[in-house]
Amino acid sequence: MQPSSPFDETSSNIELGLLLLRLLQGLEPGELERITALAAASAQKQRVPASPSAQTTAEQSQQVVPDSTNSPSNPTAEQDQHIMPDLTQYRFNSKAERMPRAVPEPAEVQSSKLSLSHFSLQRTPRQTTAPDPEPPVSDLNRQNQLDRIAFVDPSTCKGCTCCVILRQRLEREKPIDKRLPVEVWSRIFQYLYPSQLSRVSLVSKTLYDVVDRLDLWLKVYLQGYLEVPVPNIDTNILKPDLPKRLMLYVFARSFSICEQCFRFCDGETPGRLPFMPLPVGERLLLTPNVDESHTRVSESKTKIHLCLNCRRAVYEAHPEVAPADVFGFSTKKELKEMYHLGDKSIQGITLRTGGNGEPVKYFQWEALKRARQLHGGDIGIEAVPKSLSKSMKIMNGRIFRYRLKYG
Amino acid sequence: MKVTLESSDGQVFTVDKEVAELSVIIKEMLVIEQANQDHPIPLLNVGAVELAKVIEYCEHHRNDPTIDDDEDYDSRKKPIEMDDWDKQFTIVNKEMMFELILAANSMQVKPLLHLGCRYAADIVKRMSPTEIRDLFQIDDDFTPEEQDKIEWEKQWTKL
Repeated sequence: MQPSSPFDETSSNIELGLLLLRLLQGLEPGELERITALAAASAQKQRVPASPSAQTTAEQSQQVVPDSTNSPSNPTAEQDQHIMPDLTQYRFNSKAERMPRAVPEPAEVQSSKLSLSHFSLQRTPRQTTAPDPEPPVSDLNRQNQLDRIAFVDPSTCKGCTCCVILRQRLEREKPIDKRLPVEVWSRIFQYLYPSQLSRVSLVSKTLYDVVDRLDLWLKVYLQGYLEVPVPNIDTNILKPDLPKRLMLYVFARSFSICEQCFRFCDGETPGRLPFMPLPVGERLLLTPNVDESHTRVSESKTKIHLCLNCRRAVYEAHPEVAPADVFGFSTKKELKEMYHLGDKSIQGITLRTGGNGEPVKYFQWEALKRARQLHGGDIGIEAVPKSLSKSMKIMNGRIFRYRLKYG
Repeated sequence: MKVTLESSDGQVFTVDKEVAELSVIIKEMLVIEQANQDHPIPLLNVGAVELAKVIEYCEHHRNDPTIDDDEDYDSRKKPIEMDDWDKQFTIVNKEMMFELILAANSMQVKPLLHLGCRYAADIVKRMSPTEIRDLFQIDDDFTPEEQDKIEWEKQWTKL
């Protein structure tokens, strides 16, 4: 029977030392002196029984336990036998020790007693605290009782000021993503659009988890696909065949979901690109910035994909400026080519009739304004002649990969 | 009527009751502990520096109507009500804004929490992941396999 594996002890001692070091950094000078004195005393005590402990423990346990039915081939039985005397010793020692320890004694006087008491101290935590075996913690705890510095695991202890300070100190050293509680992060993420969230989620595992568990994705899913949750009383309130990883599923389908209203835009029909979510500068959206100094990501990255309706609303509130060369007149054919306007929408634009067989010309600026309104900004006008097939191909590929992975 | 508050490092602040009651936690504490108000109210998670700032904020907003605390994703669209004082407050305390968020969260000072979250969102949404990591000294703790796994999730904006 070995008292304890030396590796365990040293590693936990190192841990403890680190903890102590951090604690000491923040202490008052007077407290520091007291603790160094305490540490010196405890070191002296520990030095005495360090080498013979293994031998003495074996001897003592043999003395106490009558060696009657003990078969060496059965290790569990052997261990059980030894647990008993240890516990009794511990109880005995702790009682007996309390009195002499109140009076400071020289180490030589204690040494005879200590070999015994140290043994029990080393042994007992292994049996008594099964879930969290940290021998030195309880050791130190006992030693510090007199000095009223209870050294307990700071994550569980709530009472003593020493632990509170230590915990705060440790807490402050953590990176910000672990310090802020999840509810605060999700509160922060309320203000972000899905594409921004996807960027934030790549920062660290913690943030990835927080983003992954936002209920935003369920909202997007339900709203975007017009799948009204069926009030099913027996099993699930929500639709039973929800995708396993909502966030990923939403990401995969991101091309056809408006980031503002979460509407699902059907992109199957060709020529419907202007109806699909198109990137709009984030500045235009109704999110005034508290602090402008952190604008770092290039403008192209801070664009939010908005559907036609949302784009119209945005550009209504923030009209785009007129280009310099727009105040001329052009024919109906030119307007149709440039701004993709139909016959109906051209009606009513200020026109100039040319004599001598010249065609009727329309005021360009007015036509542009009308086109912007119709297609949702310049970006919508540009998108009209473009094809959807490439984007749809990308999106279908993503959804295919998602299904492959998560079913 | 005055109320005394004690920060985690033992500093005591005396504020008006209505100022302190902007914090939901303190408000509830005051209801419970009406009898003995000689003791300062301990705030174990709030340091003195942060508490001073929180009190400064509460002093300024003492007469504000209470806002309803709805956690809704439509809040992205809502314009933020922010006066010049608030703007100045965030810019001056830029360095410790996250500490203030924590303090506001533990004291449940709702308007300050909103302001802080708004600010944090502003920072976070404009940066690339690497920049965020640099700014807050966050470790990139994704394993290579996880990196591969999330590789195609990055594609949201690339169309």
